[in-house]
Amino acid sequence: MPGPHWAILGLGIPAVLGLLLMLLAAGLTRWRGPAAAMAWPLACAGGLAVGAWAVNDWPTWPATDPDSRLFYLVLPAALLVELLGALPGVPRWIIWPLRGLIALALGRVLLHGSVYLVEQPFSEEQVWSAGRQGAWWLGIAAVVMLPWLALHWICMRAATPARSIPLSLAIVALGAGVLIFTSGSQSGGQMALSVMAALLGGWLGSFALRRGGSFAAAVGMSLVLIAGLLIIGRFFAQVTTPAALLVMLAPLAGLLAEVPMLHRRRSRPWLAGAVRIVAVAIPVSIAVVPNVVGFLHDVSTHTSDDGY
Amino acid sequence: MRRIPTGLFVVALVALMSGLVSPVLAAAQKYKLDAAHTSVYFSIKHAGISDVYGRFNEHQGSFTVDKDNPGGSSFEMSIKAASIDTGNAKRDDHLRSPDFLNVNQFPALTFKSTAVKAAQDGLEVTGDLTIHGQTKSVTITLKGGDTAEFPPGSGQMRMAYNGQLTIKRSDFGMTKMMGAVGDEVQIMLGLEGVKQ
Repeated sequence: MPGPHWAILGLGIPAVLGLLLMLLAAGLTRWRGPAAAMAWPLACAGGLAVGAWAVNDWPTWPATDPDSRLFYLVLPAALLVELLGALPGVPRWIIWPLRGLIALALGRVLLHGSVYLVEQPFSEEQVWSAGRQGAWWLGIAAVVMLPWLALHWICMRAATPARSIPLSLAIVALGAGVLIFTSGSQSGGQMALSVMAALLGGWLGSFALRRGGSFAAAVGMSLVLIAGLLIIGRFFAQVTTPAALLVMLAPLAGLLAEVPMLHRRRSRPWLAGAVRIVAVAIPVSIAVVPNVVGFLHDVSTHTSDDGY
Repeated sequence: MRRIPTGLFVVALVALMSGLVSPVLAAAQKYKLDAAHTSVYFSIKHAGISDVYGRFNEHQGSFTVDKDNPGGSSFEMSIKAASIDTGNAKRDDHLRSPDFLNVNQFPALTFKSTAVKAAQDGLEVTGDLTIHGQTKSVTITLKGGDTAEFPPGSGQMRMAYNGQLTIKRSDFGMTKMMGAVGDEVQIMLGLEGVKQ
């Protein structure tokens, strides 16, 4: 089980990083908007990097394993697109196709060279046909893009209190972390929790920004990293497809807060925010709780708390 | 002087040459690993204090032994990573995950010898060991080389070797959970091959 040493490194440092980046953005008077928009993807990327370091999973080159491909290929590509998207004047019609491309390539990159795509000795998995591969890549892209577009749309609605968006994403990261942790890949779960800590730190720091904290910028990077970790958990550990889907699509439940009855109560914006957080937490809990119960049962039947 | 017929001379020459050559050919003998009598065990420290033992249940391979010229011998073995068995299903699932062996990315552990030389009571085998997709050169001393006919009277000749090897899992890119699970892994091999 992770101890206090990991809590300081894997949770504390990402949280402080998120907080400091947002405070730095708040200090840049003239460039506050773009700086805040850049702070979110930087915090999430930094959170994952620190999280990997905290669990002694520094990526290797050549990137022969999925964790290393997440770091060396997916993370820089997503970071580049999100930083580009944070720059004022960059047309949206350039950014969104690039985001779609990352979502489409995510599964293919992470599964590269695995038993799903390459015939290997002792493999029990039948190599996927081109059609099956296409279906998986499109499915994964849809699962990443749907919550991304939904949360972006919520953020773009001027009257909507969007401060709950990073908290919703933190709940998704928490769910992914616990799910992966209890599904046979402890380090993968811990890395997702580091992303959660970075989001919480950024959320706290966003209070220093007078006019919001460019919350839409928090969405892309966090969703791509969470999806990447869930894909690794699904195809290389024991995360089940329904549980992974429930966690990844949980942000869609946040649309409940957009029902007109709640949305019109502008005098109480916290209400819509609270409804959003609770709505996201419900599918996440449905996915995670059975796993946690099973994990705790397994741990209780062992003599030591880490199963070893 | 009486002349030897040419045909008889050729037959005698062939017989003589085959007599000279056959011991050389027979010296290099190939054996296929008998999975039922070949064992791959390992042990690793838990929390730095106790040794936890496990094994790999599925493997295949072969070896060729040249008793007269040990340098001409070779060993080859592949192990199914997913067949890891420590007597605890949950732990085995974890050992198959990206935290350790990552079997869906690297389904096999392999060894292929690059040099063999004679050693006391056996052979010193150097070769490329690939675990977790990373290859390192290792040297293992295999003791034995005794042969037996089994089942008796079947004409099936067998040869066996035993050896031990210590590696560091971090050398093969498996660096996670170093506190709970030790870095050094003791590997114990029992090889029994059936003559081909």
